[in-house]
Amino acid sequence: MDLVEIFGNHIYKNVQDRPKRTLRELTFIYSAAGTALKYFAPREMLPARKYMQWATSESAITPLRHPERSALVSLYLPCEILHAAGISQMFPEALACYLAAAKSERAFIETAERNGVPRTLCSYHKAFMGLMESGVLPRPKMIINTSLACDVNHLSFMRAEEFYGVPRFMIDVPYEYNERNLDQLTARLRDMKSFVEQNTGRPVDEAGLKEATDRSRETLRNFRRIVELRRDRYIPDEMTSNMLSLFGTHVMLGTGEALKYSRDLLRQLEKRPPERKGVRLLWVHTLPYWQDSLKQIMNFTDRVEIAACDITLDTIHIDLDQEDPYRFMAERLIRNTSNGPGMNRVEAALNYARALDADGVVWFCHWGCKQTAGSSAMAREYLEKNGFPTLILDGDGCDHQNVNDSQTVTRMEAFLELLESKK
Amino acid sequence: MTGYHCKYAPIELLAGFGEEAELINSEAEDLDYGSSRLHPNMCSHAKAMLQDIHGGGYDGVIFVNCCDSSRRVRDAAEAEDIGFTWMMDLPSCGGQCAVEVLRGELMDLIGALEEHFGKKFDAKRFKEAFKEPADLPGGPYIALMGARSSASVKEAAEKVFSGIAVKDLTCVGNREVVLGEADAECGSIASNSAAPGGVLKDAAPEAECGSLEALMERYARALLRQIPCMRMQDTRRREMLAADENCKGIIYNIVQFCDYYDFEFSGLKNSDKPIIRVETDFTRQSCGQLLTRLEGFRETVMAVERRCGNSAAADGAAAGGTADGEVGGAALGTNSGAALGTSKKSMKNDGKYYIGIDSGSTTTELVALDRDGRLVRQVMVRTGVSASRGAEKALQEAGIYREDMIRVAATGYGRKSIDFADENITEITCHAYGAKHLYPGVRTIIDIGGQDSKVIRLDEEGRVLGFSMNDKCAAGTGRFLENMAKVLELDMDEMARAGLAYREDLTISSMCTVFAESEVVSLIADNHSAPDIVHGLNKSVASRTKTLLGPAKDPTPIMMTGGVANNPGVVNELEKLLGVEITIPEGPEYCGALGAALIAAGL
Repeated sequence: MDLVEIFGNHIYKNVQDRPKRTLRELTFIYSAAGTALKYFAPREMLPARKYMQWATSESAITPLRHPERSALVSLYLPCEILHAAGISQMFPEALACYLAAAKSERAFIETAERNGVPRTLCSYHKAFMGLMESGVLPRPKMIINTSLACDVNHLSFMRAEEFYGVPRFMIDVPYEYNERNLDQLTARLRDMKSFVEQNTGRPVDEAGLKEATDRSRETLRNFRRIVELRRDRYIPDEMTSNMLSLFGTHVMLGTGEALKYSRDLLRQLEKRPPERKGVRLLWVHTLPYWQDSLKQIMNFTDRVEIAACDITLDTIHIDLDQEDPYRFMAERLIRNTSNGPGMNRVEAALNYARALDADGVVWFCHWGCKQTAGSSAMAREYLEKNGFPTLILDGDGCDHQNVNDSQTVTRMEAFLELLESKK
Repeated sequence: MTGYHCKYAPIELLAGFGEEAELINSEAEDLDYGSSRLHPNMCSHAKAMLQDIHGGGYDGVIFVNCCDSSRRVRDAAEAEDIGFTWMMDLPSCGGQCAVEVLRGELMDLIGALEEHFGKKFDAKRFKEAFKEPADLPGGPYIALMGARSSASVKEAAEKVFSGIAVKDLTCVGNREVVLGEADAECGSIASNSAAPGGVLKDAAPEAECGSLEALMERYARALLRQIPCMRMQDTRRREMLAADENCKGIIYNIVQFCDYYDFEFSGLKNSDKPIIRVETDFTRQSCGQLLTRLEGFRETVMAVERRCGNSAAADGAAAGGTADGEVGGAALGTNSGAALGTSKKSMKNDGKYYIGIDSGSTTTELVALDRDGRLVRQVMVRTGVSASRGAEKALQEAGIYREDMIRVAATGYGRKSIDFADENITEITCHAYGAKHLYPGVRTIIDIGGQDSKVIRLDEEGRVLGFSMNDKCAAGTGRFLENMAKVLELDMDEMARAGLAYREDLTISSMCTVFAESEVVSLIADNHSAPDIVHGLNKSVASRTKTLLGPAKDPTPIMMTGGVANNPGVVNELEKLLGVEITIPEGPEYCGALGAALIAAGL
């Protein structure tokens, strides 16, 4: 049994009776892990990745330490207004990912299921609700969520509102992209600013907001360029890196940290020689970065690399010259590749696969995500018709108990063998 | 014919084009096609709906953007041979903003339909399409709530509760759209069907009276005025569904892989009203289990009604009965068996024994009581391929002839196949009777049998307060342990002993039986010892059972019945996990049969 497993067992045994102590222990571990990765990460890891490991763990810890200055948000919420207001963010996917990294998610998932949360729900949100209902996750100042990209946003944030008794603001993202809907959404984002002001008792500085959206635009521009470079630049990497990038273009987008990460990553990529090693994959959806069996196949190896994860890139196609912060944020929501018909995301995946010159696509069906799973058959058909072999991989982004390791390995290795045979 | 799937679908608009609409809600033989075009883990109704569309019964489908599944079915439907599909956005927030958004959506749809049908929208026909809300009969009723119900669930509910009304209050079942009167100044409607798209942008902030937009604004209001489904943001008005005093019990329907309604159920299950959660998958494959569970629930409803002194509703429920007439309801009413004489089948005065038979999926247990209620025989045989033959075998084993029997009560899955039984009662009630007899004062029974596991909660008098059962999945049942024993090449006794001799605290992480089996195989390959693996399996069963127990306040005293109670490894783990002591009666597997015998004897 390794140390992380011992820690996970310790959390499992103590969470019910000692929720406050559990929070302190989790916070300590996250902080220690962030610092350790910043200074003692694997030698081959790019410095930009090391930095982002630290920055991400800091952004996860801050709201746990100062919940009175935090908002509970959904992954797709544009957070520049909160950055400008000095409000930190906690969000289910990050909370669950950190739990999974500490092998501590089980106690919380079980708590949620015992309290009636359906087993078929997204595991990230189950872990989050368990964290909340076990008394470990402290009460945020407010809750803000969008309907993007899936049903669970309607459910878990409403439950959190009831549980914590704090005000909540909800943004419905229209299905179709047109001027009328864009106008409505822009207006709604202005209302969000008023909501934040009302609940903090302080005005949000428009100049600060503009600075944040300017940082966002530059970050997304950097990612556009990163995609171009990744076409023929290999980097030794691990699955976690893609989750870091994903956080960087979502909740953390607009922060100085996300901008620094994208700048550093771009610079470090530019310095690398054109080089391809092994099989190159486009990964669709989140990654089970904690799964040891997959880590052995995917991390720091010449055999295979994940060139990008589609969620990271889901807004880089929009108009980045849009100067109006609210309209820019609205565009990010309504033109997100996960919004609207499933073909939007499939087409986008095809574009990324082409841009990255990928050998194949892994369409990862995270447990409970009907949004992604429901498009999987259509996606495989379309991507394969366009020359990209596609693996539909069922798994779980954070629940150790919900995967069959040997099946996952067999599928992934067989897919790699298939792609290698085509080279 | 145009299909729709959601109560917010604007089906009255179709009448404005002289077209009919039909709710897509059929069950499927299997969900193979739907699973292959979507994904096996998608909402079962979504898969069944796609199959229905694939079957070719619809010229068009109007989708509502109300959930992930509806979006994905619409995507997949694009590849089907279908004339017209449309996705109408549905704002989840309330208020004027939502009305305006929906008005825009309706205007867009009118434009698209005009183009599709090649004719103008007829506002008069549209207005005529609104039906007066149906006057439902008053009096006690059972509410069918939750997600949309398939025909099987409705039929089963109506069959089991045939003496009492069953009201369909599920998400689409309670569609009620009333257009309402136009404001005085907006009395007349002009059919000026405006050009689609961009209509709102150029329109005045408030639609002009008498315009099509004003009519659509009224319509949007009417659609949104319905009792909200669980996808909407403000669901407070849903509370009225269960609050009616005439509602005597709630059958709460969950569609497999639809996540919305468990959130409401988790709140409702702690209310005073009897409630049962049933999960259905839009096939007819689980009808048998469904009937058993609903019958058990009927007994609970009747018991609660009698306790409240409301005999009319209880009698109403009892009068209907099920196909074989006498579900033991009369006995439940008094909890004393005094009403046994009302049974259709008379007692045999010359017999010697009151017999209880528990016909389970793996074994059949028989308990015989003499005329004084003393236990004189208890036997257990393998059920084999037929429940009736299993029961005959048990009689032979006990050396009891038919003429010796005064009265026979059967329980368990095969109870209805035992033709010589005078009555049949669900395992839930029988276990309660048996447990009360063995351990007066017991408040919780954990029964883990071959096919299913249950938690039954009793009141201080030993009457059933409520129960939970595992779903169709076999994880956490005796069958699960049996399968794993086979993989480990152990018999059940060896397995029971092995669980106590572990050295390493292994965890079997997979909850799914199929996954767990391959995990066990991997552990064997990694040279882990059988006792360690068995310990891991025992923990997994205990954890599953704890989930069934839910966050009950104080479940003690707890008794465990069923064959798995003989497995000290599982019992130990369960005690550790729950932090309480569990009582195991002598012969825990006979508890159901004992309860049945007690009911037969009127004790």
